[in-house]
Amino acid sequence: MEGVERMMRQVRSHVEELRPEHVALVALCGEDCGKISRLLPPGVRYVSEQVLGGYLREVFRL
Amino acid sequence: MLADSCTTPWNIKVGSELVYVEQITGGTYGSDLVYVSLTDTPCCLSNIRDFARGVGARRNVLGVSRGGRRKWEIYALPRGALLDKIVLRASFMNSGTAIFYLCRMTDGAVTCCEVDLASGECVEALRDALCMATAENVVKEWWRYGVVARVDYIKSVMRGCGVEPIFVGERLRELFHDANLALLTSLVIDTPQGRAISLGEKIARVAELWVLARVLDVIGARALQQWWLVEQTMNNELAVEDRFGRRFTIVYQGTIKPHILKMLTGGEEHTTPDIVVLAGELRDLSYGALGELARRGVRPHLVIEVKTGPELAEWRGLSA
Repeated sequence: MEGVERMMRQVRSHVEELRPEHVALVALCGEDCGKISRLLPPGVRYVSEQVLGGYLREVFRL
Repeated sequence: MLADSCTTPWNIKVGSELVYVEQITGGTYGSDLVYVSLTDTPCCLSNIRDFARGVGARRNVLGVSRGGRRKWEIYALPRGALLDKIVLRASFMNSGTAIFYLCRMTDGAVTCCEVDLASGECVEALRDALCMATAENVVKEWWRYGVVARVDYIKSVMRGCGVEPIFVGERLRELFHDANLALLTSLVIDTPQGRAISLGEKIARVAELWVLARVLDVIGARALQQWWLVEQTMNNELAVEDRFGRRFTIVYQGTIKPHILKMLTGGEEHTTPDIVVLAGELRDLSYGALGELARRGVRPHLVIEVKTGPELAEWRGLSA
C-alpha cells in the first residue's frame, strides 16, 4: 500500500500546486487499476484506455 | 556478425588450468555482462554467475561501488568449461550504448565478434536465447501492452503533426529507435529485479508518450515547431494548434519546483506530472517553470497522470 499512498500524495500535490482545470489519471493496467479509482483525490477523473478518446473530446470541447 | 569486428575480449583470459571471466554488473551504463550457453539447452543463455555455480567455479568480488549498485566480479572456471560453448558479452558504454559480442573459445584462445544490433533477426535470436528471462511476467506485460505498436503510433502521430521528436538519453532514444533492441537490453540485465525495473520504466515511458500522442491525435494538432526534445524534467515545451486554430503548449514530465528546492528537499516530494497541457503558446519554459506559472495564476487546462501495470505491482495488494 505504500506505493499507492505515495502515488496519491503525488497526484494531490500536483493538483494543489498547479490547480488545473481538468485532472485525469489514465490507467493502462486493466482491471487491477479499476480498484484505485475510489482512492483518487477529489476532482481527479479516473480514465481507462477505452474511454480516453471520449474524455479528451469532452475536455477539449470537440 | 559485423565484418572485421572480431577481437580478443579484455575480460576473458585463458590460463594454463583456469579461464578467468570478469563481469561488471549494475544496470546498463558501464556494465559488462557475460552469458554462457547451458550444456543441456544449447540455445539457452545463463549468466556467468549461475553457470560458474553449476561447474563448481570460484567467484571473487573485486570491488563494489559506493552504494553497492555496481560490482566487479571475477570467476575462475576450469579451462574446459567454456570449450564449445557460446558466450555472449553484453557490453554497455558509460553513455549507455550497447555493444554485444558472441565469443568462442578454441585452442586456448577466446575470440569475440560484434553482433549486428541493427539486424532485427540477430536481436530477436538473442532475445529468445535469454530464455529464462523471456519467461518472466514483466516480459509478458511488454507484449500485452503492444509496446512496439505503441511506439510506431507515437512516432507516426508526432510526424503527422509536423514535429520530429528527438528522444534524449540512451535508453529513451533506443526505445523509440528500435523497441525490440530496448527489450533485449533490459532482458540482458543479470537480476530478475533489475530486468523488471528496467522494463517497467520503458513500458511507463511508452504509455506516457502514447497518451500524449492520443491528445495530439484527438485535437488534430499541428505543431508550431519543427523539433521537440523529449526529455524528462527539462520542461521542453511542444506548442501546437488544434483543428480550430486554438493554441496549446504541452509539457512532458515537467518540473514544478526550482532546482534548488529539489536539492534542499532531497527530491523526495519533487515529482513531475506526466503530461501538462496549457492554453496558449508558451516558449522557453525553464526548470521548475510549471510552479512559477501557477503562482502567476496560469492554470493548466489539463494535467494527466499515466499509470501502468508493472508500475503498480504494489497496488495489487488492493485486491486483498
